[in-house]
Amino acid sequence: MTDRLHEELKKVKKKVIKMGSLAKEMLYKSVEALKNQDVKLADEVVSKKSELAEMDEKIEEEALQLIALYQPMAKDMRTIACILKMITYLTRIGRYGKDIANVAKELADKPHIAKLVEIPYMTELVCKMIDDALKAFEMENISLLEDFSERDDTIDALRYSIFRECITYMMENPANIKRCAHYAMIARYLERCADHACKMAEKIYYMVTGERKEIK
Amino acid sequence: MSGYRIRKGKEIAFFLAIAILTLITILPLFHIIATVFINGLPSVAEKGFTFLTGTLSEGGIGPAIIGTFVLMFLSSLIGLPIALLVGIYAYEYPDSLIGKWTKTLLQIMLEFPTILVGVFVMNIIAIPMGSYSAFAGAFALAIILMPYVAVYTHEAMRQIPFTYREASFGLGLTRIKVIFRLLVPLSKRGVLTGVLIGMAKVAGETAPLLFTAGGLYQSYSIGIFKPVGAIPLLIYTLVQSPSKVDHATAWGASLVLLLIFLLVFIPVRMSLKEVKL
Amino acid sequence: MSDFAIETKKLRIYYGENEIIKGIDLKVPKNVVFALMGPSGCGKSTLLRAFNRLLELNKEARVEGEVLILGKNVYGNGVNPIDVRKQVGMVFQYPNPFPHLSIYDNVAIGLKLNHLVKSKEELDERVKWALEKAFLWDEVKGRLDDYPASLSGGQKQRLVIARALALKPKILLMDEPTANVDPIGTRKIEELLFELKREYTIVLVTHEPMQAARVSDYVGFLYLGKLVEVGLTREIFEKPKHELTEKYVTGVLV
Repeated sequence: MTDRLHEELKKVKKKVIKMGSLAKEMLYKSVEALKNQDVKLADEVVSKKSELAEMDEKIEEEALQLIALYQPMAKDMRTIACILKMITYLTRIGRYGKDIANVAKELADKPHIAKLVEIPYMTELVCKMIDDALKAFEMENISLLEDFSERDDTIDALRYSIFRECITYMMENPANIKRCAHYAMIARYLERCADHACKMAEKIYYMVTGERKEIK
Repeated sequence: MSGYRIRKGKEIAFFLAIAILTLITILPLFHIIATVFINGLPSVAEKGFTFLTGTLSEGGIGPAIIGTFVLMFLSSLIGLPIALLVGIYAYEYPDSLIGKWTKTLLQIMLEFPTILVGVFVMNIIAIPMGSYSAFAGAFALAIILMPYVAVYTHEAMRQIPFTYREASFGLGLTRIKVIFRLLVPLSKRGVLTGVLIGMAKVAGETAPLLFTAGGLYQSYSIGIFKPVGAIPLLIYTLVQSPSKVDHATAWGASLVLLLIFLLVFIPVRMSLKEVKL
Repeated sequence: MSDFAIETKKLRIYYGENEIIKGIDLKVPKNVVFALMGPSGCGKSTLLRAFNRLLELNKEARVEGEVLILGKNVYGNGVNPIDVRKQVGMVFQYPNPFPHLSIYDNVAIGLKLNHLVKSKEELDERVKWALEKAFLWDEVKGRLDDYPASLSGGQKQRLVIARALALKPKILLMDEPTANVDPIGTRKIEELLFELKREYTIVLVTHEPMQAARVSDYVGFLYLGKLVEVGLTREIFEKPKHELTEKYVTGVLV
């Protein structure tokens, strides 16, 4: 009976990891589309929105069923609690990807103001955090989460730097205001995604150890 | 398919064998009952009510019936209290030396030749007192009665699930109270069964009475220290007589004895089914 | 007076040569439901029966160490087990009201035989009180002279609880009280525990972790005669400290 629970739990965990890959991919590809002014890729990202929403719903339903059927305890219970939280964060991340993709379509008509160096770099870092969180979740290994605090600080610094750069461009030429406002927003979205990765890390830490730890 | 048939055939053969053997075992019982009815009924019917109330010379076995009841009553009076206590003791202290000895002793007494009981009681009561008596007969019967009642009591008590014992002690009661106020009443059906079976048993005993009760068939002068009659004893005496009339009376007495026996035994067997805890 | 309802010190229990309970130091606070859980054969029931010296009915059993009930060692010199059992009531795994006594007499018998009441009126009152405490009064008030055979398993078990409560014990020991009771009856008994712990300390033996999680304030996990872990119920079920406990509550331990 309880072995069934553990089997089912494994399946749901796999689905969470699959959903995580999708959310991360949406985020990553949206920035690719932005960088290369690739409207087709941006459309593809936007079209993934419903798939992500379906996964969110499906996993939530299955997790709740496991609670109802097996009344899990201890680590099993913590794993399900973690899953329920993680899918919310992953949905948010995927939807930020969709938002960025929409902006990418809007900004595809004219060349970028600067080389956008810091936005793709920031994306790499954020995606790595999401990746590490998913790995930690899969392998129940919290050592991957140790430096999340510092990594989040780096992301915050990058966002601030992009923000200041954009302000400069806006002051140079009012025609840049709309584009630069978008760039600043994108940096803000990416920073939020890193925050979600940190929240996931907290939940995973709780799942593995039973202790609550704040990552800030 | 053929394997199935062989198995089926074996099953039927086995069933038939069991049925036949069972029949062979119970046939004598029905034969006895039938014979007693066929031979006894005419002589009882001929005398009518007198058969049950009249003295032997009037053609009745009244004193013997009364005697049997007196003996049953007296032997129960002597034997039951002791037997119950012994049974309870053997249940409560199964591992004690006395407990173990008691159990073994009871088993032996169950199988003990009853004629020897008669001889024994004759020696210690009838001879010193100088006469046969109801008391001596009852005493001999009590010795027969006790192991039955004690063994049944012991068994009935042992049937009580341990959880009721725990429940009783859990209420903070002393051992005496637990046993006599809760556990004995709890197994009263089983104990009662033992009592009735013991009494049915002594009602039919002849051998222990031969040298102790004496016999009294011509009057109703009943007294504890006077000789007393009993139906089985009467049958024994009558069968030895050459007279056909006596034989007829013996059959009639057998029927009465059988009826008394069945009247006690059948309700007991019926009530046995109801024993549930 | 001690702060604890039950306290054991280096408690060891043997059946013949076998050590069943291997040195247990346990503290049960007052007015709580304390659940003892563990797999079958871990010694839960044995430990429970050491608390009211009911273990002595088993001649094989031998106890070493101390059991303090409200601060007093019940295995001390001159302690009469009968007095201990009056203070520490017990409910059993098999609902065992006395089948030959009426519902009324089942509750009254302990009072009568222990001479705890002076008059018939007082007895009536106490029987009603105990049945009300056990949430059974409304269901049986019209048929107090019926035999318990007419009751459901859950009702029988509540009758047994009433029988124990009638003696006004301080502590109530329950040995898997819902093991032979249907789900509805189980729920009623579990609700009853919440009420009873206001006035009594309840030690509940269960082989079902879920039940311990639902009804208890504290949990002790017993495994192979040893107390592996004791703690607040919500902590034990959220984040057990010991690996064995974790395995047990997640159902991996067989």
